[in-house]
Amino acid sequence: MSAAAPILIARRRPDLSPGVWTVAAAILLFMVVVPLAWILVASVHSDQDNRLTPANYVEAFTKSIYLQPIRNSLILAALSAAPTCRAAP
Amino acid sequence: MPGRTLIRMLTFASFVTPSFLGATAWIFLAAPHSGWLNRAWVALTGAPRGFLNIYTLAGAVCVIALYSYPYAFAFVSSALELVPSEMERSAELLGANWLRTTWRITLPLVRPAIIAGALMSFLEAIAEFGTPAFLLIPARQQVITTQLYLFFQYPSRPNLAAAYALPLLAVTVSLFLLQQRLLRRGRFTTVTGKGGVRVPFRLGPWRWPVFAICMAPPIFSLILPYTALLATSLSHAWGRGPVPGNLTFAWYHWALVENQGARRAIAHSVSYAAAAATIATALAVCSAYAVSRRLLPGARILGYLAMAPFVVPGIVLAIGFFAAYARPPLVLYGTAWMLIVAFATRFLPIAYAGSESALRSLDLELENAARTLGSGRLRTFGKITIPLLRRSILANWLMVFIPSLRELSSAVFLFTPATAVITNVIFDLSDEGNFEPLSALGIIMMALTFGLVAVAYRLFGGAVFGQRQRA
Repeated sequence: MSAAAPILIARRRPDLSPGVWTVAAAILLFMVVVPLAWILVASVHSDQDNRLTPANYVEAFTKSIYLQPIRNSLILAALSAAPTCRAAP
Repeated sequence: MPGRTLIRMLTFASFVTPSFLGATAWIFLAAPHSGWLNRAWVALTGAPRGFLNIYTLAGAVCVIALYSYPYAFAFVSSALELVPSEMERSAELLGANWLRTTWRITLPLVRPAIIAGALMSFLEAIAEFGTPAFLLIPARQQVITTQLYLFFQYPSRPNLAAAYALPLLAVTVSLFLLQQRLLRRGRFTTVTGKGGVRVPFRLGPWRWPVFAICMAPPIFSLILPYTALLATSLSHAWGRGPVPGNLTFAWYHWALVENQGARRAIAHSVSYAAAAATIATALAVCSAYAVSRRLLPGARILGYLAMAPFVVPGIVLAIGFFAAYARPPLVLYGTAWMLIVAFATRFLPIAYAGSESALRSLDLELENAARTLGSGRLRTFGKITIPLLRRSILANWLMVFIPSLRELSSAVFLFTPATAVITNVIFDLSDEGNFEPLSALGIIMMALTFGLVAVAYRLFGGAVFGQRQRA
C-alpha cells in the first residue's frame, strides 16, 4: 500500500503541450508559407487595377530588357561556380 | 603543408565577410581610373591606364567567386576528412607519386562533394544581391536580383516583380534537390570498420608552392580588401591615397557619435538581430522537438517548413513578405517586426538544423524518467530537455545573430526610414558614392561580427562552425 503512495500524490495536470506545438506550427505557416503563397497570388494580379491576369508573366518573359538580366544572372552564376571546383588543403 | 590552421581560419573569415563589403573594397582597388591597383600598374609600367575595371560582369564574377569559395571548401574538406589514408598509402606503395595519388585516388573519391560544392556556389551566386547591386547597377547591367530591386523603385511594380521572382525560386529549389541527390547517391564507401589512421601527406619540396596556392584566395578576399576598407575609413578622401594629411578618425566619430541616422542604424541592427535570433532559436527548438518526438500529426512537414527558407533567395523572401504583410489584414510594413520576422525566417534553417542534431543526441531515457514521475510533457520539456540543450541553444542564437547583423538583401526591400539598419545605410552611402563613411560603418559592423565570432569560438570551440555551411 505505502509503496504506491508517491504515485498517487503526483497529480496529473492537464497537458497543455499540444497547444504550444500548434502555436509553433502556426507561426511557421505565417513566416514561410503565407509569404511564398502571396508571391504566387500577387504574380497573377495586375499592378494597375488588381485584376486577375497572366500579363505579368507575359511582360516579364518576353520583353528583352527583362530577358537580358536573366541571361546575365546565369552567366554570372556559372562563372562564379566554376573556379570553386578547387580541392581543399 | 604549413599553416593549415591559418588557412582554415582565413577561409572562415572570408565566409563571414559579406560580399557587398568585399565588392566595395574592390571598388577602391580596381575602379577603372582611381583604383589603387590600377594606379600602381600605371606607375610601374607607364601604361596610359590600368587594365582592371570592377564595374563589369567579369568584375562581379570575380568578387562573388572570392566570397563563395568557402562553401565549396566546407563541402570538400568534410569529404576529404572521410578519405582514409590507407587508400592513398596503397597507391604510394605501388609507386605513385603524390600528384598521381591525388589525381587518381583522392579527387575521384571527393568528386561528388566537389560537384555539390560547385552547385552550392551557383545557388549562392544566382541569389546574390549585394555584389551585383554595388557593381552592376552603376554599370547599368542588370541581373535578376537587381532587376527585382528596380521593380520596387518608382513607379513600383510589386506584382510584376512577383512574376519575375518565381522562376528564380524554381531554379534554386530544383538545383538544391539535384545537389541533395548527388550527395546521397554518388558516395563511395570510404568509412569502413577497419580503423582509419590519418597519416598526414608528405609534400616534401612541394610544401611551399602548395601553401602559396592556398593563400591566394584569402589574400584577394581578405587581406587586400580589409586593408583597402581600413585605409579608406581613415582617409578624408580615398582617391588621394595614404598620404600624410589625409589621415582622419572623423568618419568613426561621424558614425558613432555625430550622425544620428548612423547611430540609430547601428542600434537597430543589433536589436533586430537579437530579436530575430531569439525568435528563430525558440521556434527552432519547439518545432524540432515536436518533430523528433512526433508530437503533432504531420510533424515531418513541420520540419520541411522550417528548412524551406534555406532554398529561398533573400530577395524572393522579401518580396513575399512585402506582398503578404504590406497591406491589410496584417500590416507589418513600416514596423520593426517586418525586418525582425524576415531575418528570423531567413536564418531559421540554421537554428533548426542545429536544434535537430542536438535533440537527436539526447537519449529519451531522461525525459521518460521525468514523465514516469508524473511530470507533464511541457514541464519535462522545460525542466529536462531545455537545460540539456543549453549549449546548443546559445550556439544557434549566435549563428542566427551573426548573419542577421549583416543581412542586406531582404532589408533593402523591407525597411522604411524609421527602421533602417546598418546595411541600409551602407547601401545608400554606396549609391551616393560616399565611400569613406561607408568603410567606417563596414569596419564597425565587421568588428562587431568578429567580436561575436571570437566569443562563440571561446565558448564552443571550432565544432560550432563545422555544422554550418551556409549563411
